[in-house]
Amino acid sequence: MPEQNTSPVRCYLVDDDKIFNLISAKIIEKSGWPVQLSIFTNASEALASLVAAQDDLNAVPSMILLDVRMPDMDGFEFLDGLQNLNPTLLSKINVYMLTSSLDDRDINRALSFPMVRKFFNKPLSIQDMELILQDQAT
Amino acid sequence: MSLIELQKLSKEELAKKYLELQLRVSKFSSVEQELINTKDRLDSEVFMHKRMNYFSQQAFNKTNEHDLLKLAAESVIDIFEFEVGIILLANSEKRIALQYASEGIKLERERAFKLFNLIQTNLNYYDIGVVLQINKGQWSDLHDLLSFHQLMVTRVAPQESDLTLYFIGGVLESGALNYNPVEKQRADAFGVFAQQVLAQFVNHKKASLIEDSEKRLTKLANVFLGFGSDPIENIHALTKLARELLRGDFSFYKGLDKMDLFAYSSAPVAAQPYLAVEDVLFLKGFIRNASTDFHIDKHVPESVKVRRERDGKHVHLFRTLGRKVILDGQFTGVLAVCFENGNVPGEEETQMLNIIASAIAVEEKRYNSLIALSESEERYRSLFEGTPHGTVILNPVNKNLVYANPAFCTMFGFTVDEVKHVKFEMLHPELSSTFISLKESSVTNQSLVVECKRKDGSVFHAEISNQPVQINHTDYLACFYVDISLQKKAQDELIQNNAELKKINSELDNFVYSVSHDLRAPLLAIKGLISLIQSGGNLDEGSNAEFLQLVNDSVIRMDETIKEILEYSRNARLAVKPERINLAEMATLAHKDVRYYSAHTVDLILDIEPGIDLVSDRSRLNTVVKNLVANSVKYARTDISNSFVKVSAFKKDRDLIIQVSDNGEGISEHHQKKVFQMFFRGSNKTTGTGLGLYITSEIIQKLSGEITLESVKNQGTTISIRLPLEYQE
Repeated sequence: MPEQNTSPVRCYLVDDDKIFNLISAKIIEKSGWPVQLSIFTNASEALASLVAAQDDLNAVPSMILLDVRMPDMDGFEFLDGLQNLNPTLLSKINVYMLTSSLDDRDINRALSFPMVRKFFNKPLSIQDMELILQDQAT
Repeated sequence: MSLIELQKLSKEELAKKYLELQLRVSKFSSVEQELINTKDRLDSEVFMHKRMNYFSQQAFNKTNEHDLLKLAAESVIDIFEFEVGIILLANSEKRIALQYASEGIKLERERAFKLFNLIQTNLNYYDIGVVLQINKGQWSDLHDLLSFHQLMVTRVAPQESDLTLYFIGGVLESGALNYNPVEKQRADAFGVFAQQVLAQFVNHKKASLIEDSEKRLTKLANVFLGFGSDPIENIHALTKLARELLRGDFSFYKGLDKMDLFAYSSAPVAAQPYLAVEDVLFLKGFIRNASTDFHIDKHVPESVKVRRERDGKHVHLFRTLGRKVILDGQFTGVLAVCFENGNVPGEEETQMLNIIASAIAVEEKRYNSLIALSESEERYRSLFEGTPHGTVILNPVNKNLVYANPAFCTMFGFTVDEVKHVKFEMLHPELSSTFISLKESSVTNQSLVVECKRKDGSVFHAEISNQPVQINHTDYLACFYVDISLQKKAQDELIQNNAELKKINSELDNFVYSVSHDLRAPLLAIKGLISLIQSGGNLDEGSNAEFLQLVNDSVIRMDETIKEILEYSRNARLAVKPERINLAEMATLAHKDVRYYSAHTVDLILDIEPGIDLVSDRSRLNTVVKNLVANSVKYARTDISNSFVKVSAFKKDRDLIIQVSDNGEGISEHHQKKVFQMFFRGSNKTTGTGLGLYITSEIIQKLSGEITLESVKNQGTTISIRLPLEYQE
């Protein structure tokens, strides 16, 4: 495991499905990485939180695990909302998509957003988490 | 001489003197007689001249040649105190009697012609104008024919003419007793009278010739003017005209190939000529070999004569005047006029015959070209009429339809007559007018699909192309139509079906996307949970039990999704089965089934009008009631203690209004429009499929009802359903 002693990474987990959130949290926990996790079952609440935090660089998460299909505001709408954020702030955020979709269109659409780094199928696995960590390190 | 002197005379002397006196008296009386005789003669001469003058005056009024001859015959008796008067008109060249008139004797035709033969034979020895006096005993052949006592005959002839007039006057044996023998003067007067008649005759002839020519020309012109379009009728009229103008007894036109001999005989039916077979054969042969003009008359050999039957006897036709009809150097037929007797055709008649023959030649030519034309016309017409494509000839200037074929009329619903009053733009209000101009650019071999308007205003589509045509040196435009309304309809349907299919396809795509997601999500959750349990190890014991519970929840959720999809499919697929429904019971049972969806207690309140008799689909309506009551339970506000779901129903006209209302969370305004959409989930509070309200609205639609929603966030929701009290298909 790389750099165990660094300060905790701020991470948002945005998914309406509580079971998946539980699974994802457990996987993150198992990765042994110091992650400060904030879980949102509602994308608009997560976006509101980001908007509120954008003046405080330390409060802004460096990674977001994002579900695509959600009631009220879905993953793409959330990404649209992100675009309106302060660009400096935005450049610090890496988004990793988590979805049960098998549709290429969803994947392509998600990857068209510059802040989206990778696309994972649910449920999140240890292997996925290792890829995320590698990506974060670069 | 005095008495005394007388007395002195002797008896002898007296006797002598007496004789002398007597002699002188008788001398006087003979002079006197002579004077009386002379006076008588003069009187009779004056009388003759008076009669002659009278004749001249009368002759002026005669319009007809025969009447003139008749008057002359009467005058012979009047003037010369004869018993019989006969005038004969003859063609001396041809030695044929043309006409005659007699007075004081009944002279039938045969006797008259015999008479003529004798007279002319005898008179030929004498100069013209000589008056012969014939007494009984002379000219015995003549006496056999006419038992005369004494005759006076003479002949006169106009200059430069074939005609001769023969005059016969005299007394028959029966009247000989009262007859004064003819004197020299009377014979001279007879000659004078003959000259006078001749003068009148020549004048008359001239006048009538002029008049005749005029009449004939007028007639000729009238016939030409009256020409119709049928050449056969015209040839018939011309043939008839030839007979009339030439004063023949019948006429015929014999076309070599198409028209039969005597086909155009124009003689009155009663005098229809009968021609012996050999005559016909002869005439045919003769006509074929004849020169351009030919003339058959008495002088041709006996076998050449054309006979006709009359009164059971064969009567010879004296002559036939014919003219070969030549067309473009080709002998096409013969026009002929036949004469039984009478007029001899002269130069003028021959010319007229030539004119008429030329006219016939023209008509023959027209006939031939008409036949050729009508054959080719027939070919084109059958093409034009028979084609199933609408074809119309159009005047590009006034845009009138000149002619349309039956297929066109059927296409547009017009009759052939109506079409002529139709303007092109009425048929195609949207077609550019350049299509029917004759400009090079507008003529197109490529067809074009246009909207066509029928007589009744209905519209169809046709593929139309155009082609300039020339008819009688005038430019027209032919337009050809192919009715493609069936193809067009099929095409439109195809486009519509395609659009529908695309919509269905995209709906299906969306459906598959959503279903796969909603079915996979719990499955993937289970997968994740199991791998967590398997990796166990450093996790506390309690977690496993929790994970297993979550696995169970996921399985239930998946099952629910599958059930709802089945529900949706059943509604779409199965026929409505109307049954009597107890709504209160249905709502109570539904509430009983779903009240545990929430830990929070939600009470059921029923407000159903008594006596409602609802007939609808039980299974479907049950799904609706259950879905709505379940929603009220699931989305009840947990922060209040008096949560309820109220099911009310009342009649309105022939409909039933069902309302399901609650005091739950309500739906935010921007979600209200979407709640009936497939897979729409307004909240993540529960794990719904997003199908419940979609299926509900689909069912209500199937049951011929309507569903509406009213909701205020945090206050509650009311869903209203209008259903027919009794479902009818």
